[in-house]
Amino acid sequence: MTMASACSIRVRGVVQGVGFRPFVYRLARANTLAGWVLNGEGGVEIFVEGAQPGLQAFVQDLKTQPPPAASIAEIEVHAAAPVGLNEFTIRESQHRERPTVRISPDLPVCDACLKELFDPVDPRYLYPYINCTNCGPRYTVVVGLPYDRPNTTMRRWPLDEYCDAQYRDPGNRRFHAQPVACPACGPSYSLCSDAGIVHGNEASIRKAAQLLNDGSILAMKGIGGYHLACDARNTTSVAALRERKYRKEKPFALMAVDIAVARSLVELGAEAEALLLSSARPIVLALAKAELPGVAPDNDELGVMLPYTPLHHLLFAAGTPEILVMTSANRSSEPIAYEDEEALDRLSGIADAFLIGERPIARRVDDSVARVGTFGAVILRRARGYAPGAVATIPSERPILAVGADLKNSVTLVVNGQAFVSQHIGDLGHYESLRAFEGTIQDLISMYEVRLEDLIVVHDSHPQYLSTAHALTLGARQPVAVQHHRAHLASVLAERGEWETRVVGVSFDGTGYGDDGSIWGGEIFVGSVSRGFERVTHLRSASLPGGDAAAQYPVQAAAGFLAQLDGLPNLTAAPFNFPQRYLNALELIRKDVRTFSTTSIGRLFDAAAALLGFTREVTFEGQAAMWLEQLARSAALAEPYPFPFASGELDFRLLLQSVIRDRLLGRERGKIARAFQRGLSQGLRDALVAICQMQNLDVVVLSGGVFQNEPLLQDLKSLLGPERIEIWTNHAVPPNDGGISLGQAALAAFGQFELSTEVARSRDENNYA
Amino acid sequence: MAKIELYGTARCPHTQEMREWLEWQRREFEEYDVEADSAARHRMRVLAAGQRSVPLLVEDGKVVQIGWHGRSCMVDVE
Repeated sequence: MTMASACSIRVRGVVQGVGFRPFVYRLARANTLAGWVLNGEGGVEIFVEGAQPGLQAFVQDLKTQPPPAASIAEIEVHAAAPVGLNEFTIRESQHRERPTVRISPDLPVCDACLKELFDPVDPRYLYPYINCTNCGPRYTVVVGLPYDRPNTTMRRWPLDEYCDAQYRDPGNRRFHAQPVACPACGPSYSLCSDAGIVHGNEASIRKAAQLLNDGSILAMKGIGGYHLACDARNTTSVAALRERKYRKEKPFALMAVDIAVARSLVELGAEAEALLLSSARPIVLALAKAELPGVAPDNDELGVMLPYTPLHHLLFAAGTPEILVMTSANRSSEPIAYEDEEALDRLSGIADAFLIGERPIARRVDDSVARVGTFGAVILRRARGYAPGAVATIPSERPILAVGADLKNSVTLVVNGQAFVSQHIGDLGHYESLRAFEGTIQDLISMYEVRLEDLIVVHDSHPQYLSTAHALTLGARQPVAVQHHRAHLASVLAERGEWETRVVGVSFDGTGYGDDGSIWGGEIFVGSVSRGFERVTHLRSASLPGGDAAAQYPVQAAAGFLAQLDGLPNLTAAPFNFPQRYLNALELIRKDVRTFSTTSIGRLFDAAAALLGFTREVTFEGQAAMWLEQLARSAALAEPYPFPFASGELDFRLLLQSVIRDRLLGRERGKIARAFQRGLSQGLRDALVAICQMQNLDVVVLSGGVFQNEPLLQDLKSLLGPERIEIWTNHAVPPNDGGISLGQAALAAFGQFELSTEVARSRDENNYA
Repeated sequence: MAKIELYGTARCPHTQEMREWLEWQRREFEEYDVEADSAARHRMRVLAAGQRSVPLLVEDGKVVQIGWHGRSCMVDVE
């Protein structure tokens, strides 16, 4: 027999609340070692004794095969004297934490249920609320925890004998399936229109399919809210929907009956197909193959999803056109409608008929949006199917609530080190979104049983954000602020659990409140989550007449940037034809009235778009930049315009001067757009290579709404690859402001914040618009 | 005390959550990895009439819970 030896081990990192001790326990038993494991102050402490080979194998496996959620920062191993223990135990920790119950995202209908749905002898034949333990609604029916029928919106439908027997039978797929129901005992659908009400699931769905075929616009209740649907190939219906919804140009999402039809609509690689078929069933953006007038004007991408509820399958089976426009039921940019009366009220005048289901929706959840981009799959709107799943493990003893930004808002709650990101809530400027925002915070706090007094509340540094104001009313002991663009970078690093790694971080977007109170959006930082980010360079400052309001008028943003150029031609004349608003903006700058300073790349894109002909008002956020991106995509690679990184800033003057010069020369607009975009990439590359060399770094993080621009990402990938610089981007949370809350939570966990009181002081000193 | 068995797999996060819950409740239980252990897999199939969803919680030979708060993993093996 080998002599017994022993060692004491301390493991630091994210090792608590991730099943680490049970893992250690099993590992010790597998190697016939005795000892104990416990959660200590500074990590997990282990004592093991036994034969030398077993000890070696144990330490080896500890390092190389930790549980997936664990992230080991450091393992200290010290030799110790054996004490003669004869078994291995998990010792009680002093603060044994109750494990966090996770709320499941909603799941698409499974194959087994689909089979029953279309089986004439099954009691749930054609029943739109069919589900089982493997599928169906979750987050949108849960009203409390534990996840049990009385805590769901199904509580008002008692199970009949048939359902109850299945619910109690361990051998049945519906054993404890909380939303289980059948036509005899469960909720049903009916169809309301001016012609009257059609009752009954079968009849109402058949009638709805017929109406869609006839070109009508249908409002239908889904999992997380109402959709507006119409035949995507019926140009008149699509145009009517746009007009009635006051949605001028923003693309509509499509639902294709199956993957084959989806393939006929868009270019789908293997990864995009997997995304389309994944359990979140997101809207997937991909290059269009089919021409569908009015669906996505001026856009060469289409957003497509597949059916995910039994209702969708029933509609298609009842003869609905095989490609539907499926858009959130709301008037332009309001959040999705989810209550029946609200929907009837808000959508009358938009929908010709309402397909109303009786099951209440616990909370509004939009369809998610994703794309397979240059760096793999990325979620652009994180909602149904993903929320409220955990996206990262953030080491924090205390729970953290991060309230996000005001546009594309989401909130993040960190409990026991797990970061749960809410669904996309939207633009808090809309009253309904603000209510949803407040409701979501209450929801998450109560479901995860977090006490307000324990909570660290984090908000954006913007003193006038509605989210900031709300955060300060929550009554938390310690509200703190995190700067917008640093939060963007931290969101990427949080996804990867990279806390210590020093990186160069590029944070490019439309707007965010900067350290100096000006409007940032073209910032480069160096640093890490644990030590914070220092701003090292940025876009050359320009004036922004009208402040954030200029985001709506590209010519207004252009005025501020162009004011710095010499020898400007008359831009109100051809080929530019800038409207009066441009002259008004120049006047504001001249008088220095309501004029702010900005380093926003989003506004630089707007200025270029204006010069290339986008001189009207934008009808949705980012529209001018998307328009410019489309224009650039149409042209081959051109000689890039200069965008020099000099005197510590990225200088846009030559970039815009070149656009004006080539416009006057009558060069093709697509080529100008491409040369502009490539110039921007090239300039950014030069800056990044210089900074990486200077700081001895080789990882670049890209985040912010600008990095939804695929050609820009492709450029950077090809330009930085040869420099051996690695690029990290968002995947699980959006690079736009939907990812801000995760970044805020991560920086707060590492103490990288300002106290809210300091922010309040700066608000009094600053008249930021 | 009832005899408690947990049937799950190493890669299933819901099994992990159920395990943590049992541990927090300080309940004694045996855990089986049905992907690694064919005998356990067979027992599970008998208990749950051929279902392949884990985690599966068994008390004194009776299935009391399948899945964890509405989530489960499907076991691939036959």
